[in-house]
Amino acid sequence: MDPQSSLQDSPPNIIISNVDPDDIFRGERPQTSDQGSATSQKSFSSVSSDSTSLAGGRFGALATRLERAITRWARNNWADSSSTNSSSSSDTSHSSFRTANKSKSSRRRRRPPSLADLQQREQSERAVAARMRARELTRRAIPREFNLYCPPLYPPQDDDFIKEERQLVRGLSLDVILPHLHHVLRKPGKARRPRHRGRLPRVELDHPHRSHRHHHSHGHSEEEARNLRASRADTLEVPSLTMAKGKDKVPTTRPLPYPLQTALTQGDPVAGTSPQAWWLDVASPSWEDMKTLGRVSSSSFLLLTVELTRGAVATSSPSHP
Amino acid sequence: MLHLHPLTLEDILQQEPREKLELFPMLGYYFIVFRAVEYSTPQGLLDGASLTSGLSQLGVANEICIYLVVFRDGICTVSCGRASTDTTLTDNIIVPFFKHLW
Repeated sequence: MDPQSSLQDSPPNIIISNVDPDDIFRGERPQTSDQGSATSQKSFSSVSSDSTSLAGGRFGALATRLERAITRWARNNWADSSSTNSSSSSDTSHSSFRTANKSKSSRRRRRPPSLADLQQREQSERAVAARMRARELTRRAIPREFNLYCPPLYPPQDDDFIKEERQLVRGLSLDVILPHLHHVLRKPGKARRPRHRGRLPRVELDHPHRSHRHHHSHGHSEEEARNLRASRADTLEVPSLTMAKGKDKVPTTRPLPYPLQTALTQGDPVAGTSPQAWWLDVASPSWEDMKTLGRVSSSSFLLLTVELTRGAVATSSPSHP
Repeated sequence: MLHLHPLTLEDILQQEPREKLELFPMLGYYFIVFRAVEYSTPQGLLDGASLTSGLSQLGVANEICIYLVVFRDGICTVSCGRASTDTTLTDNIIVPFFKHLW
């Protein structure tokens, strides 16, 4: 590095003036000032650009040394960058360090984050965020809604419905659906009790709600009260509670018929009723809605629990109490 | 009203994700839980073209759990995070089906 420093420190005009007369390479000093200036210009320019022209002269030797040193340094560096750990001891520490740095940079160079990749990544992130936002919006926007498809024998008559067809009752509140559902649920209960039905006119059995309205103008009769009591008892579709009150207290309950056996039957041929089928579709219900829908009346809750416990123990069905 | 078992209520309210079939012979119903995929779009961000084409970019395919309670004379379906049954579906498929039953 000394030649470099000497070259940098000494201005070019001084170098030109201190030409050694004994320089065998350069030969005799030119006589004319024009020749000297030309030579000086030549040597000065050769230092900067042409290395082969510096083969003669001290500066040429210095430049050659410098060039060799640079070449060696560059060669060593290249060798270090491509060398493995099996190199010499002192150089290995340097070279490994340099190798690591170089490899990292070369890896980075090999896989540069291209603009297309970045855009694609951004788009995918945006898509995921948009999906999440849309999902949240969807969840927020979904209101509670109740649809009841009831048998055509009972047309809805209230005005609070969003859509009112003959068989479809649609509402945003459970209170709108409840009276209709109550009525729909009463009918099959009554169809399961043909014995009580014999004492009552068929019209009242099939349409207890209507019969109640009809008799309301004439006042409550004893028959109507009996009918209402029977319908209330039928509303609870638990294995008949009266049977559980037997003297011997033996559980004589029998399970209700399975839905798949009787769901699509053509009604009760004995009672002569038309086939009844209802469908309640509940969307996004609240806790209160489900509690109201699945509620068991308080009077029969204890008996129902007992029956369920017995049934679970006896049949070891999946229904746990 | 429907006299559902407390476990059924619990499954529905807590949105039980496991698919299953439970028999409640004492209460006279089956309880079925199954999962489905629904393509939904947020309300208020829809236009007619996207609805008809079904290619709205804001549409989201959701996984929903549907709880089906099958009674002797009727069915109760409960689902959370789902829009109500499409009117087209009800008018064209469900109501005719029930008319056939009725």
